[in-house]
Amino acid sequence: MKFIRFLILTLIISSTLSSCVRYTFKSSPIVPPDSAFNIALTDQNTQPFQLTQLKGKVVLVFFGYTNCPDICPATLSDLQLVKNRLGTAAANVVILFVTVDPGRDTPAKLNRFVQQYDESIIALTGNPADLGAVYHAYGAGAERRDTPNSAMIYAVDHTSTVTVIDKNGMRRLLIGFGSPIDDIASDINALLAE
Amino acid sequence: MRAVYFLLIALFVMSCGNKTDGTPYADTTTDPMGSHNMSVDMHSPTLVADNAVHLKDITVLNAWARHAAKGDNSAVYMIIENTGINDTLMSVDSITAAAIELHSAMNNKGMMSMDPVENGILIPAHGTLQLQPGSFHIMLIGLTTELTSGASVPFELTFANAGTVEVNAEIR
Repeated sequence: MKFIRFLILTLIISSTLSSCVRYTFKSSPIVPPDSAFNIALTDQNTQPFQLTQLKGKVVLVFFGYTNCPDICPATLSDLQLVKNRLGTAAANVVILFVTVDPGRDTPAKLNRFVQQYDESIIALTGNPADLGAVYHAYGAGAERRDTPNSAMIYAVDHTSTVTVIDKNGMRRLLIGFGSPIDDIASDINALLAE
Repeated sequence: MRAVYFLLIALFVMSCGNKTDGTPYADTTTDPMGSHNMSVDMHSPTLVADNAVHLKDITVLNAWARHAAKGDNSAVYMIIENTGINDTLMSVDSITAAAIELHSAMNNKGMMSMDPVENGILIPAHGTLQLQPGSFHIMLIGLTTELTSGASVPFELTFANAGTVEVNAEIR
C-alpha cells in the first residue's frame, strides 16, 4: 500500500515538474522550428549584412516601409518598449527592419526612420531578387498597390507579423500585430534563457 | 510522511509558477500603443479631464501623434465621442504636413493594408470612434517639421454637423 502511494506521488511530482519546465509561449510557436533563411542584404549604412552574423542573439524580423505611418511605427515602437523591458538582456536582442518599398526607401531614409526608434535596429534593403527571396522565405507578401486618391501615390501591403529567430538561427515564433508588450518580453526572455 | 510529499509537490508547483509567468518587470512604462488593448482605460475620468475638447455634441479625447522626422510621415490618433445624432469627421488641417488624409488600416489574416477613407469617418449617434494604430487614423504625409516627443501640435478637425474645432495632439 505504501509502495503504491509512493508511486502515485512520484508520478504527480514528475508530471508537475515536466509540465512546468517547458515554458508556454504566448506568441504563436512555429512547430517544428525550422532553420531561418539567411537574410543577405544591405544595411542602412550601405554595409553588407548576413543573418548568420547574429548567431547567439535573438532576432526579431519585421517587414515594412518608411512611408507607412501607422502599422510600422506602431510595431517598431512596441519592439522598442519590449527592449526597454528586457533591460541589460536587450543587448542580445536585435531588430531587423526589412523594407518592402526599396524604390523609395534609400539607405539614408531607412537610417533616419529607424533612428526615431532604436539606434540598434538594422534596416535592410537590396536588389529586387535578393529582397524577393527574403519576402518569400518569411511570408512577407509585399504587394505594391497604387492609391490614386492619396498623396501616398502608392501603398505596399505587407504582413504585420514579427518573426522571432532563436540564438541557434531557428525560426521559433510569430508575433501578431498589437500583442501585449509583457507577452513579447516574456517570450523573448524565455528564448534568451535557453 | 504524507506531509513531506505534499510539501514537495507544493515546492515544485511554486518554482514552476515563477518560471512560467515570471516577467520580472511589472513596471508601468508608458505605452504609446496602449490604445489597441486598453479601450476600457481610455474612458477613465483622469484621461477625460486631461485634454478633452468639446464642440456641441462632440468630445475629442486623448489626441496624440507619433514622433517622426521632418519629411517623413506620421499618424494622429484620438477618441471622438458623440452624444448627438450621426456626425462625420470630414477633414483635418494642420501646417505640420504637406498633405493630411483620413485613412483606415485593415488586417486581413496578418496582411496589413492601408487606404484613404472616402467621404469621411462616421461617428455614430451616441457612439464613440477610436482612431488607433491598426485601425482608423489621420495620416500626415510629408511632415514640414519634426514631431518631437513631449511637444504638442494643433490640428483643426472639421465635422459635418458640429463644425470645426482645434485639438492639440501630444507627440509621443
